[in-house]
Amino acid sequence: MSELQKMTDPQESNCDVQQIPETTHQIMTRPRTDIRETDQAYLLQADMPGIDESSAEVTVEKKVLTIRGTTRPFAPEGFENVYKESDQRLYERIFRLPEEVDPTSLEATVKNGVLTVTLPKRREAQPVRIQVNAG
Amino acid sequence: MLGSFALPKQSRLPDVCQRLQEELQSSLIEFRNGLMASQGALSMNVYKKDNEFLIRLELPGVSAEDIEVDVAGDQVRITVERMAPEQKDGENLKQERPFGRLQREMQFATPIDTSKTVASYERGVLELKLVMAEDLAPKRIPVKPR
Repeated sequence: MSELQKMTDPQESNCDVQQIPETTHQIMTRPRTDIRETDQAYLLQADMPGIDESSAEVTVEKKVLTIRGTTRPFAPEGFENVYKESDQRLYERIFRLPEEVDPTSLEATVKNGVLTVTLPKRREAQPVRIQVNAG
Repeated sequence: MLGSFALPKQSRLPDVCQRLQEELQSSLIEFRNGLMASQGALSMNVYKKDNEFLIRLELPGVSAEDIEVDVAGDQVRITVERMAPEQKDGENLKQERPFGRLQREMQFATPIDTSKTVASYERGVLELKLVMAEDLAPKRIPVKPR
């Protein structure tokens, strides 16, 4: 057997790269996000197409907000994937919350693949307008 | 040796090299998607069965009425206007999501049967079912012995 054949024949190579598992990592998608700040709250909107209320996950732990989502695998019966730009989406993005956010009163909604998280500010952090009376 | 011509072409590369090639290919596609996404185009997957095509296009944050699907002959055009949300008060700290007009066009090898085309929009994903025109679909001609 020639040297070239030895190199191309997987049975003959004693290199242990053959033992690498089929998938060594998952490709995570970092959803594109808009953040807006108002006097009362922060509003976070993330594009996560393929996500609904049952597959989205919003968690807060020690001032860290994590948004996650996994789309359903799409494999129609008898169809063959002839052109591919994306795999099954695994979304994840992590944000550090500012001090003034109240982590107990978060609200999250999903509509048309857009996740919206409302992060209200603590009452003491909100600006207060004081009525000025004539003296 | 004539029989060997009928066999499918087999790659001589070991599995590991093939997987490396696939990973490189998919990372290139991811990179290009990033570029395309910055220009407003979002990722698309196409599935095929006989003379049927299923197209899935990621279009988050639009409503079904804003999506226009035009089929003419062998061409499909998808036009979407994604409006930026109304700004009442507050300040934008981060703006990454694309807004505006998006258009993607596709061309198929054979004309499309417009009466069987179905489009649906759910969870931010547009799903388009296209059926190739029946009389033009590829046909296998049986060979009869004489």
